Amino acid sequence: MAVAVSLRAVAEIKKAAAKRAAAPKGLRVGIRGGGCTGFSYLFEWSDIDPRAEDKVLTFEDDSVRVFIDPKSLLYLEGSTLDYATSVMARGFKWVNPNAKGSCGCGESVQF
Amino acid sequence: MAVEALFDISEPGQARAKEACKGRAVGIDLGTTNSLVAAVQAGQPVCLRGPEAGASVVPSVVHYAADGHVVVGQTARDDLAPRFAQDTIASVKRFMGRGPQDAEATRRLTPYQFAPAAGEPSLVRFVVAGGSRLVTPVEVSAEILRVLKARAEADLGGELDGVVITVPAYFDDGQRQATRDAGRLAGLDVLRLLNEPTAAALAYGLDKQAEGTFAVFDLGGGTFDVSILKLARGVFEVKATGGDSALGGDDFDRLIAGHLLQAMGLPDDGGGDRFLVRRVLDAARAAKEALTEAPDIAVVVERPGGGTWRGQLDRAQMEALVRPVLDRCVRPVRRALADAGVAAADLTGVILVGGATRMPLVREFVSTLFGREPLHDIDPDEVVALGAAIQADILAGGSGRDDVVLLDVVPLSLGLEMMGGVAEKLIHRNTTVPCGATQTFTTYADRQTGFDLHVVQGERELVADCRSLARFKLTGIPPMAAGMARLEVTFLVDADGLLRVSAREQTTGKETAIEVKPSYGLTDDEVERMLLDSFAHAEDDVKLRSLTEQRVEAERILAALRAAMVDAPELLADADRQAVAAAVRVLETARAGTDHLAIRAAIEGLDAASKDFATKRLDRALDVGLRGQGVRAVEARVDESATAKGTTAGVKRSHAGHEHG
Repeated sequence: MAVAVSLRAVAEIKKAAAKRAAAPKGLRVGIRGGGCTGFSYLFEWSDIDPRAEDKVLTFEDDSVRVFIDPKSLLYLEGSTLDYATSVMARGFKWVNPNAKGSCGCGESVQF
Repeated sequence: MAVEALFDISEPGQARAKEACKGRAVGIDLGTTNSLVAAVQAGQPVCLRGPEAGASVVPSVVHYAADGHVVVGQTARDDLAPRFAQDTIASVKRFMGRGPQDAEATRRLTPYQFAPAAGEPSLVRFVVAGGSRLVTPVEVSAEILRVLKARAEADLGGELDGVVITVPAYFDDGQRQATRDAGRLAGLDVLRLLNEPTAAALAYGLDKQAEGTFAVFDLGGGTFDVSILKLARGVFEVKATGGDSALGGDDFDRLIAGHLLQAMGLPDDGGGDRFLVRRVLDAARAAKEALTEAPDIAVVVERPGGGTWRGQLDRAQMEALVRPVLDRCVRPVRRALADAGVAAADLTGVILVGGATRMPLVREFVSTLFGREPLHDIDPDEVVALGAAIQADILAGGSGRDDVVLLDVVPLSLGLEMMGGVAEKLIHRNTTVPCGATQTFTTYADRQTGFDLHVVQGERELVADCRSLARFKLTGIPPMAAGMARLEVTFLVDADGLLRVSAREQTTGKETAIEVKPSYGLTDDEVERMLLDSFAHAEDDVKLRSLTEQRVEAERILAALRAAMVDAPELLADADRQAVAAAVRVLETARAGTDHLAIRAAIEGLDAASKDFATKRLDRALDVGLRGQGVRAVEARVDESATAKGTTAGVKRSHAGHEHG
């Protein structure tokens, strides 16, 4: 098992990074405590290099890098980062087989 | 399932900034005997002692005076409890989330007067303040929490933003909910309920280790708990818990007091003189505490009717007295180790919690039992509160360090009542929280327009042997044939161990949900008993469950066949009629018996005998509704819906995209 990123998501990350004033070192994703049911997804640019214990996924000749800390990896193992568009909104989403449900506020996730 | 969340990429630190506005968060150990509040100050957790810098512990004793004012703590315990036994509530934690029927809780602490049960759900209510007031355990606990809140606000200089309250690992849903309610009632924002052993492990900084398995040995005044924690990559999991809710330092005092009375030449119940018993118990406790340091001490007790008794007590004597009680810790420890599937030798460390673990004998006992020296350099009375403070600090975002994810477990399995009174477990015992499970159920009878959902907790196979947590209904489903409706039931247990159940009928989109808030909880004795029962009855239970299931199935088939025979009698060939009738008789006889295999065989017999009839009916249905399609295609569809019957696994999400990395 591993964490996967769909081609669509890679393209979107690249596009978003290009729009940013300073080129990010990578995209940090993970799980943090918080949200109304206990956990929430972290999704932010990183302006520093990955930490030694981080897992780093690289795509398109290193132009897109995704950092994941080891604890979050436990939960994200087997998940796919995808980019979705719907009538209502567009954005990144996790297709996570470990998540048993999300919550009303949409920010939290349960395992 | 709720709406899938979509994310935008945030700037660094932004996500955390939202949480970081919370600054003053404290940890509270709401104990049976004593309670404490602690906070992280300058990076270090410390117990708060209030402006007078007194003791860190606040005795969990609440006095309701006849004039309406409330006294909490030492004064209530030492001065008021002896004089106003009815109006002074001690050890209220034993009543949290419990009902008045709970004999265990009410038997042990008899000085209280209880209001007669009234209304639904019925609650425990103490009659206090000279009979003028009724209070629930939640209100009593809230009084203790208010005192701790005031102390923390005075020390920290402002309102609290949030608290973490600790609870025993075995606390069930009702008991956790009651604790949370008490916090809310005291005007606190309860960020999280944290298991006591996990808090102790945090206080020792064990979360910074790479990994390991730890035992937490918690011997307090009146209760003994043992927990096995597993740490992997910074994640704590409570693997198993055990204990004895009627074992603690107070039992040591009683044994020593008995010995002292005997030495005084008095009957060991003090001859019914309550004041004498109190004096001797105090002397016994003082002697026990002094013997932690000194090898032998002099004991002085005031005799009834004047004069004093002087005696000697040495450590060896005392240890011989309390040893039998201490030996009762062995069994729960072994059980917890077995439950967790680890041997004592595999443990990375053992932590001592609770005042009674200060005794050299207890430390020695633990060393022998686990084959290693336990960790004891943090004050065992404060360790839980200090750990809670660390967790509160992390949740409030003050620590700046990576979030420690703490995992606790569901103490007893959670499930739903199925047709025939069988309990279907959705979340199994010792599953780590937060967790969730989804199963799909269907209707049992034709034209069934509602579901009665009955949520139960326990290990046994039959609902009657489990504890009822909640009942609710989902109605308004259009009439359909049995087995056509698809009811998706989701159980979610949040990080505090609280359960939320939702149900959604998929064909109509009707849904309903409840927070499970049972009227009362289980005692840890009950938890223990239910666990033992589940082992003792495992074989019987499984048989009984199979029998019940087969009976329900037989009932369903017979009903369907009868309906069909009324509906289309002409399709049943005369030759078959005899065979079907005979098979029905066989099934009816088998159903009245207790052999589930015989019922299964009879069901199959009837199935075979009525096969031709069923095919003809199907053909006719095709003629009417689906002219032109082959029987086979329709049969395939019928088979599909048949597998949806009963229980099927949770919703599977599609798993798209490329795999990298």
